[in-house]
Amino acid sequence: MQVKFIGIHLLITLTVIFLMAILLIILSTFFYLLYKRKRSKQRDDLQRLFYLLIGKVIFNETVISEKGENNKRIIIPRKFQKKLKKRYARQVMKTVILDSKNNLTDAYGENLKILYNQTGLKKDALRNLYFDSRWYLKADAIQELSRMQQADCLHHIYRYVNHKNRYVRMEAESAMINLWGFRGLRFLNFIAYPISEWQQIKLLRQLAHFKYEEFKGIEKWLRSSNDSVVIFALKLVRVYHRFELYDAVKEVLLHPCADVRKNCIITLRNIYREDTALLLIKNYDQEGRDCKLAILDAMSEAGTEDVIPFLMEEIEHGDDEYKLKAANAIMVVKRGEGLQLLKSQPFAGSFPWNEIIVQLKGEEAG
Amino acid sequence: MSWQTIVLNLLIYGFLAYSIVIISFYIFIGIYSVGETIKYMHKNSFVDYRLLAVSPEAPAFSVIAPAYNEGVTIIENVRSLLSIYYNELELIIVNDGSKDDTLHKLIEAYDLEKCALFVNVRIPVKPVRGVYKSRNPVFHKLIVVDKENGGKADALNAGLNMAAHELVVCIDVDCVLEQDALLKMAKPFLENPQINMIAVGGVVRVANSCKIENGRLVKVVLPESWIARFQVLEYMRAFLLGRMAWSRLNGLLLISGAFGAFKRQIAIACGGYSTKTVGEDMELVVRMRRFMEEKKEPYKVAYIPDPLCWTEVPTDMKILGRQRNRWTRGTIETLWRHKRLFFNRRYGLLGMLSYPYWFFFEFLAPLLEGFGFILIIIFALSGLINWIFFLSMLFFILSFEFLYSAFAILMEGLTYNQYPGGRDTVRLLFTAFIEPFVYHPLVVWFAVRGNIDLWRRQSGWGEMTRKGFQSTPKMF
Repeated sequence: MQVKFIGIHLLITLTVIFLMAILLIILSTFFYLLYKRKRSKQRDDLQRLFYLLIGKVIFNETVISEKGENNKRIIIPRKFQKKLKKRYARQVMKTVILDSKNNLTDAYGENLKILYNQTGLKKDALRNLYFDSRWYLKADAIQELSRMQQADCLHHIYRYVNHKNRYVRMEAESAMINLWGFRGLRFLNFIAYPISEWQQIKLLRQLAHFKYEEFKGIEKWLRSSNDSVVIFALKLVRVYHRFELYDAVKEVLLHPCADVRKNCIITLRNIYREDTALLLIKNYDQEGRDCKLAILDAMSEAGTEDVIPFLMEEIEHGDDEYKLKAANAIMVVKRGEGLQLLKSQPFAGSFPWNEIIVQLKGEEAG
Repeated sequence: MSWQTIVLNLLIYGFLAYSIVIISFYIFIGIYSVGETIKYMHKNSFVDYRLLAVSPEAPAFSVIAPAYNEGVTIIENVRSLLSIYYNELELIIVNDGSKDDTLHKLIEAYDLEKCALFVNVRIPVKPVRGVYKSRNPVFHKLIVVDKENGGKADALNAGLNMAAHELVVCIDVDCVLEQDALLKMAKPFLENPQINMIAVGGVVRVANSCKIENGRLVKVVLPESWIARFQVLEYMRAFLLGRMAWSRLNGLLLISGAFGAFKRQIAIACGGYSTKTVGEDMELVVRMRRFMEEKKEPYKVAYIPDPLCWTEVPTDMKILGRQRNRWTRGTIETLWRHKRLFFNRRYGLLGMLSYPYWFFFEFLAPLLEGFGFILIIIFALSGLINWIFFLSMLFFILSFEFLYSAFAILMEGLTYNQYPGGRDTVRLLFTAFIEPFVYHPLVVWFAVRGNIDLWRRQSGWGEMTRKGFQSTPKMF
């Protein structure tokens, strides 16, 4: 009976704890909902007010120049100054400035930069960057400085390119490009961590906003010990059609990482020369499936008559995906005669060739 | 002490110990999920998903949606799927031998023509009768595969054979996706260069009573139906707490069949969806994980907590019963097929934690609950019951059930806050309060019936009545 008593006692204690937790959670839920509603109203009021100020700032109504055009100052009415002493109001102001900056051309954005500095938001961002240990505040600060085009902060930002937190270094890399354009790519010289595919897409997208200028360093990046840097360099070569780097790219075909080699094949396909097709099939047998399929795809672009014997071997591959890709390449290389060549093969009437040929015929006609 | 007392005490304390262990697990899951949710929210605040939509370097997706007797809604459903905001996309609708006019309606509405297209059959499927593409360039993303009926898994496999892209998204054709759903699904596959992301699961939310216009969700409304509202709570607990925690542990065993993305090559290398189980979604994830563990390659199965996919849940007891019955059978079939994983160190966390958790707390829990209920009746009738102990135990369990639901409601409010009104919160809390008395016993009964049906070898999906966009996502 003593055992039972302990059981009951334990159960009652736990139930009371659960009931107290329930009460706390319900109160927290409603308190939070109320708080959110109040905050939302407060935010709307502040936004309305700040957009008014920003409208005036943009159209130079509250801007005065001191000692020349480069020394502009904004007259911030006292009621705004008073409000901006509060943390939440500063947060709203920051959002309003960033949103406005996004929607304005550089000429109008200049005044916003002045306002950003003058309200101390830049100092706040730098303080978060240096002294706050929370990664998301650091990353947020970098993004903010970058969006506000604070080029003078580049020396603060660049050291975060090798930060231990992935998101902080991603923002730092993006900021380098955003503030420095193609020159910002120099972070690739010393980056220690891998660059994710997502980040590579983002960086390429950011670069697309800049007027193209010849940038140096790709040869070095193609030899980087960081595989992701090599892959990114290969993407840069193909996106910016850097045909002159063909020889440097060619060497990457022997890279130990299969993913790098696959990207190299895709890049060579984009900047191909007459010898590319033969070069690609040189190490074909040693490659894995992904690279082999990439090579067969490349044959549709870079293939020449010289590779027809190789392609004829591949159409007899056990895997139908190889067959189809090789057949596609033959159709391109042989132009008009490809279908006849395939039809003349002894296996042409059997599955899957009967179906593949019908498809190719349809594609040729279409 | 008589033998009856010994047996009685063993049973009572066995149940008590089991309850404490399962509750401890749930507390762990609840707390552990918070960290992951906070991290995701912070992470998300820096991301501009639109860049994927315009980038030529973005990965391409093949979206596979099986359709069986969907004639009433198929045109709207396909229109909704075609409007997804993603450039590099092909939409493969697999007509799984529908007996109604599904195919005919598609041909007419989308100006389809049969085309000669070689299908590389890497997974054996029921014969494909034809592949259709639209003459209208506006619908160039659409491919319709017409095949003989072989069930959902067979249709998905036909889609996998047809898919041209490396990333595939398998969805229920009647789901309503958020416009940015694919942009968000793509990101985890591109994030970590050192780990192979093999699958990504998305949240499925309840669309009953929500306002939907032109295949798009316009306004979220808490369902009017009680049964649907109970399921809203279930989904909140499962997706916001359970899956978040399992994702953090990298121990997810289930990606909802209603909305999940996979690496095609790995799914095919594993043999695709199994046609021998009704729980093909869970079985594929377990098989893919097992495959990667055996290859000793680092991998991850991720999960996105953003509400991306909306589906109508059953509001009819009969249909709900069939659905839960099927989920139970699917779970047991998967666990049985992969019994080798059970506490097998070779499979790491998969064998030592994920599988045992599913065995003890997802498969066994309803059986033990059902058994306990019968025992209480027997003990009560024979006067053996200690009422103080029984009531303490009952209040203990009920208070925890309510606590867990209330916590899920709080987390929902703190994160996505889909039901922002105070009135909705009160309604949800009230639903959580009555759930253990009204809804939970039914769910336990359906699960027990699932076990019995499996024992009696009754298989199949059962008829699903469609009312707009009804669907059957799996949870837990």
